Amino acid sequence: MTRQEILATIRDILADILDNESLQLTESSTAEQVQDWDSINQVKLLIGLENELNFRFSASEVEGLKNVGALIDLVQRKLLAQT
Amino acid sequence: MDFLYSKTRYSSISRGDWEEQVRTATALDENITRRGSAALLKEIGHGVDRAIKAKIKRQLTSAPTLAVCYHGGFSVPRRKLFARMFPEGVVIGASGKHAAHDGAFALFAAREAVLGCRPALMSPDGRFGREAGTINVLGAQLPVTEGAPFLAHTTNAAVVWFALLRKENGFTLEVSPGPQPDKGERFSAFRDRFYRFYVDRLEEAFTGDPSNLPLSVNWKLTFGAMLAGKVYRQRRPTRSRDETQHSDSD
Repeated sequence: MTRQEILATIRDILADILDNESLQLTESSTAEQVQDWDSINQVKLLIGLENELNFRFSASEVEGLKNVGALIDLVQRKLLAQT
Repeated sequence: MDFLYSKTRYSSISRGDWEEQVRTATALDENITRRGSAALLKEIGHGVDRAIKAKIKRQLTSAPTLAVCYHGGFSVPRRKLFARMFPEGVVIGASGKHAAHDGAFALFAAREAVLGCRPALMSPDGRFGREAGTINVLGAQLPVTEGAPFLAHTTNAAVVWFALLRKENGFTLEVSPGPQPDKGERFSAFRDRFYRFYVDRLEEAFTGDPSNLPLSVNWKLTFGAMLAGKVYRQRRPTRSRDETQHSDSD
């Protein structure tokens, strides 16, 4: 998956969680900038990514994720490890 | 004090004796919290009957379990004892590795632990997460978040109330079973059951044995605000957009 495709996947999952179809995300987006993107919805997003992409995050991997770009980096590493 | 005494189930105790016991418990709790050395905290843990600890260890590691408690009732030694009993578990709090400043990490780590039958401990009356409603405890409105019921629901965990209580010259542990999500139960329905259980346990504690009723700052402020016709809100460090009053105590 390209970074753009991962970004689109993250956006779609988060839009569904937040019930906000017009949600727009960029790699520099942070949870603080998005209405209702709180810690619970962040965990829902991570679980959604696990289910969609068939891998499991460990807690240590998701510590201190600063923005969407950092999450894309992590997803890319997980996908690479699968191949 | 007048308000809580009016609610006590121990009304056979005189007002003076009741207050004396509450003040003693509060002083003891504050002393343990502020001046308690690691050795003292360890001694409290050692003082709890081994058979009771072993039984609770088995109970909380035999299936996914979320233990809940509150900011009162010897909360610091309780957290320390839990961490000592379950070194692979997770204690979510205001400080430490699983602190509220990275709520998503703390929740995710707790989910990982609970799914692996390593219990997590949370205090839903704290300032962890975004305010999502209020519960009514003896008439006082307490803003709460959804972190604890969410964690239990997403892991299908059994919820238990985890209490450290004074007994004779030492302490003992008590675990009371709470709700577990039913198959297919919607989150909102489980959250309501979860908070009914939590309110029951809180009211049991606040109306119960005064020797086990050390009053925390947060709860003094919560009941004080109620008597003044207000709602006390703690400062929430994780993405809260609804901050009206502030407190650093936790």
